[in-house]
Amino acid sequence: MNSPSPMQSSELENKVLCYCYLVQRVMELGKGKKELEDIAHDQKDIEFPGVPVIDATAKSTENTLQDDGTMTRKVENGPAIKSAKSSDAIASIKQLQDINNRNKSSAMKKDESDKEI
Amino acid sequence: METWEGKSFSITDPKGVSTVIYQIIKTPKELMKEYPKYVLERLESTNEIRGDMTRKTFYVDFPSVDQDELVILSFGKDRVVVNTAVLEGNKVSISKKPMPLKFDSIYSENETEIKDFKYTPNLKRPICVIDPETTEEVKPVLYFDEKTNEVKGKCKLKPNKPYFAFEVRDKKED
Repeated sequence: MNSPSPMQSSELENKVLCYCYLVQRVMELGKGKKELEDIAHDQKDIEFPGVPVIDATAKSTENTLQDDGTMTRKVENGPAIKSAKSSDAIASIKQLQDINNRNKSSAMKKDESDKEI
Repeated sequence: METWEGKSFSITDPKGVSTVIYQIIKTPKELMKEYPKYVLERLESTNEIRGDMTRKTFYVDFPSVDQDELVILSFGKDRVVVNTAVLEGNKVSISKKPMPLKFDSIYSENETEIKDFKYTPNLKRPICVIDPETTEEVKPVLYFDEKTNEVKGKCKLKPNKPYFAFEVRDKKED
């Protein structure tokens, strides 16, 4: 196998950075509430091909971590579907989410108490 | 056995388009020194063929208390359409301005053999590289470089073939 020359590595890095910045810009657009519209409205405006039609309504799923370390999901009125995620991956994501949610809750409580003062 | 509530929503891909979705998980403050600010979690999906189209159901297994930001990447023959969405309760809203990016080859070499390119993943700055044909992630393989005494990574990339790479950052971090 050949190793890349420094120039090739640099070129790859530049390309990667180029795409990264583009996504960053899109993320900024997406963050503004004004840019977010109901799906039904959006579908009429998107004229170029390649865009999926997205259902505006999400459903709740009942997720269960089984004793054997596998996870299953059950959508309302649907069959139980086994996830490909490992129990380690599930645990690490869940830990991040739990701490993140705790941070948000405590930040919200602080905001409320600041307002009261 | 543990049970909790997740969310799911569906999309319909037109012919020749394959969509993948990532959930953006913000790293908690106490872990920010060790991990990047945002972690991307690729959503698992199930497919249902409907004529020329594919209906995909994506699962957000650990939805946040308030809302979740999503990156939607729709891969076509020669382009990827990048879009963002927010899942809030049972409502999915998408950005009104999706961005189509036309593929450009990274290299213009004549050879078509598979090559290894050094790409050592930075745990503070994860970059996701995707093969647009398969929509699978190109994961770097870690190896130990005895000369420099460091753990490095390398990706197998084919010349004359486009790849899509992205990362999520805050604008203020420029």
